[in-house]
Amino acid sequence: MNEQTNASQPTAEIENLTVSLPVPGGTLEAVKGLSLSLSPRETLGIVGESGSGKSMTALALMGLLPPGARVEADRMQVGGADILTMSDRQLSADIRGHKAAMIFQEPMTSLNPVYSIGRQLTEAMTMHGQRYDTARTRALELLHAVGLPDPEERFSQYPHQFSGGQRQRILIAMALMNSPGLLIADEPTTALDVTIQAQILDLLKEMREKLGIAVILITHDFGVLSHHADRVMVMLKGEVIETGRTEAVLRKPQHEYTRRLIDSLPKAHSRPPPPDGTALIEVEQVSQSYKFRRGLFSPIRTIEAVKDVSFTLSEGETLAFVGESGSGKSTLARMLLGLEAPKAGRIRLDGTDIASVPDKVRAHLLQPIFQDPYGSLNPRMSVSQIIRRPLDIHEIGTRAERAERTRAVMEQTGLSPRFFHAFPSQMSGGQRQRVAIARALILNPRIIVCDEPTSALDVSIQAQILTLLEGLRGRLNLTLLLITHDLGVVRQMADRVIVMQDGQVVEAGMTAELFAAPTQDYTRTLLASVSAL
Amino acid sequence: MLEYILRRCGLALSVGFTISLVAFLLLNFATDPAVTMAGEEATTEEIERLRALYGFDRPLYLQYYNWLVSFFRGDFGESVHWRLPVAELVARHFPVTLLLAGMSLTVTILVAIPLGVLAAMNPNTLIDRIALSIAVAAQAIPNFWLGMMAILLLAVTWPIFPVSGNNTIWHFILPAFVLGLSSVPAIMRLTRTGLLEVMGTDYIRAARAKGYRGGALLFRHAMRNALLPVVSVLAVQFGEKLGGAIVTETVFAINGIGRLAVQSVLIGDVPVVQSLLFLFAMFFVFANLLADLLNAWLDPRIRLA
Repeated sequence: MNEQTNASQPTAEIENLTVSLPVPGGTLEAVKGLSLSLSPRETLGIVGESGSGKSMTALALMGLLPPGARVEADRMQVGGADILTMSDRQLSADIRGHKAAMIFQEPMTSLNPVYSIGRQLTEAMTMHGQRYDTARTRALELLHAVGLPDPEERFSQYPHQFSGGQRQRILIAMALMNSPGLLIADEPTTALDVTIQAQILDLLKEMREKLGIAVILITHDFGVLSHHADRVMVMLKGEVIETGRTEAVLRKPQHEYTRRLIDSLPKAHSRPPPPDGTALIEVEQVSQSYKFRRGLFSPIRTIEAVKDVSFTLSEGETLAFVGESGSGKSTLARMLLGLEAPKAGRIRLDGTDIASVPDKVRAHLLQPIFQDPYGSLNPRMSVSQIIRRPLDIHEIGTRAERAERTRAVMEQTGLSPRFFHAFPSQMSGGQRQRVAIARALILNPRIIVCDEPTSALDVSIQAQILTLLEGLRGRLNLTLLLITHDLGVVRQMADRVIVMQDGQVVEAGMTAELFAAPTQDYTRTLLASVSAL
Repeated sequence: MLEYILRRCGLALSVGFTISLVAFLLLNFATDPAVTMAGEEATTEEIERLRALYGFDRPLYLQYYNWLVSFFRGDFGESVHWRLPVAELVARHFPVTLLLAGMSLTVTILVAIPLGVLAAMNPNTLIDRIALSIAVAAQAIPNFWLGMMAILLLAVTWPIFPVSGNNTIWHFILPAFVLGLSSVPAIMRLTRTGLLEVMGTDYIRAARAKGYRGGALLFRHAMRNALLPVVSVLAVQFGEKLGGAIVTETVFAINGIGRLAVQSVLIGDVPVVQSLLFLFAMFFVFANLLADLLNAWLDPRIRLA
């Protein structure tokens, strides 16, 4: 076990850390002059967007920076050990997994798929010469502590037999095997469903108090920090721009960027309810199920993805579907886009049954925006080609007219004309999502179906995209159908909400009313698990 | 797991049936077996006599049925040329081929996997380039040429190994190297890319954070995952070597079933060709089955699915 650090000595301390990474044509200073100090039982939140240097700081503390990275600091210690002077061998024997442990963003892929969780837990101790029996006892004890059901029975099971939330619990237990003084959690809940997120954050808090460890919580989400960090450190482009007690920073942010980050957290919107427009989409008792079998000789199974769902979407309104993964909301979207036919029920688009609406007419009525702007744009086409493509398919206008219209929607979506001949690979995530929106708008559709339009983006970019969508909705009188698991987005954008679980509608209502007084338990759980300010 | 094994075996069996049917039909449509067997100078009566004797005048489905029934009884028919049961011929030649295939597979594994690991551990360095160059060279050199060069240099100029034949284990070393090297490029590249991919995964990062590094990280966390695709390809290559060592066996005058197949085709020994055709195909089916089972053993996601 580790020698305990005495209470007066900080668990971790960094003075004037600079990390430079080799990039094509020079070096990039990923972290510039960072200092921090962390006492036992304290949680420090580091917040910033991707590329702000928050993860690099954590990796520097673990001695896990990518090869070629240069580290300079006046002082850097964890649990009394001077990291700067240690070799990789010493770091691996004394720091990693010992004095400092780390959990990562992706619980689904952070466990080795071919070894049992028992082996992966115990090896954290046996690889350093501890007896297997000792390690097993410790592992079971921790699995109990992190709230994994039936640890003894599930000890020899493999990662794929656990859910994402359970895997993150296992990873937390694994990190705590050697009683580290410091636990670094790098976006530990970003990949999890909202209800699970809250459970994992509470677990981290509980472990910190029970075991007296210090925690560095890295996140892009200020909401997470407000409940779980004692102090916050805001990073921008490698520099710490603001640091202080969490409440103080939240109440009175000193730096303009911090203020923007806090403001960009989605807030309740106050839009007058839209006038009762004509019904653009009418869905009546629609169900969808999939039959599949695992192998040639196994029995056919049926999954009911959507069960008996009915709703109406009126012109000019924004309707949000909320639910966790597997709730059937994306299946619903695919049926509305005509990508799948429902097994039962009726869908009418602008008064006509969807089956008898020709593809080209439907395209003028309704266009999609997808979650992943990296995957939904053809990398071999230029921006103007991508945006113009619907006009080519529908044979609308001459070449010059098409180019003219392309420039117009690019301007509407805030895309600089210099991107006209650029390729998606040369653009950021937010810019790509603007291209996707421009492509959706070019045919002047009346409805836009947005499937998780912002969940792949950084928070301040999210806010920009949401603001863009709101602006477009007003100017072009668009009707929006929003599919999301992010209740913050719902509160900012939607007039009405439909909550889904396991393919069924759990609750539906006006956004403000539903947020104020949810009638169903599931909705309450969803709302409670949002890290709101 | 048992269900998985049974399902795979069932699948292999049904593939085997299909292959036997195709082999049978191909041979009957491509040639007139009686004419082929009778030879060039046979009279019409002679051909008719053979046709009746071997039952080639009966309906095809009946011929196939009879062939299948006797096949499962272990009766593969009788060789026209050697006047011996085909089963005995195969039993005589197969161990030779099996030994050659086994030895060459060992060569492949011993050369390709360490090279692949070395290349992956030092990506885009001189070591990587050298390993890749070896792979490219091995791929570019035809088997028969490498075989002849090996004989010329290592058996004739410097008589270290015997020139040809299969009397002692020494006779197998040169051909095993020649045959084994031909599989090195594919396996080496697969090991390299597999390992590079695995080293970039989240669970390797997590293992590093746990304190793993160097060789322990490689062998206790990365290797098993990286080898999953390699095992599949190796098994198929083994099947290929059992059935396809024709060139190597011919160059080194090794009396395996590859050479037997060539001779039987040349002299039109239909029962032998038909049985070997089916046998070669079954080697592949068997090798694939082996790969599936090995992968299930290595990967719990398959085993416990």
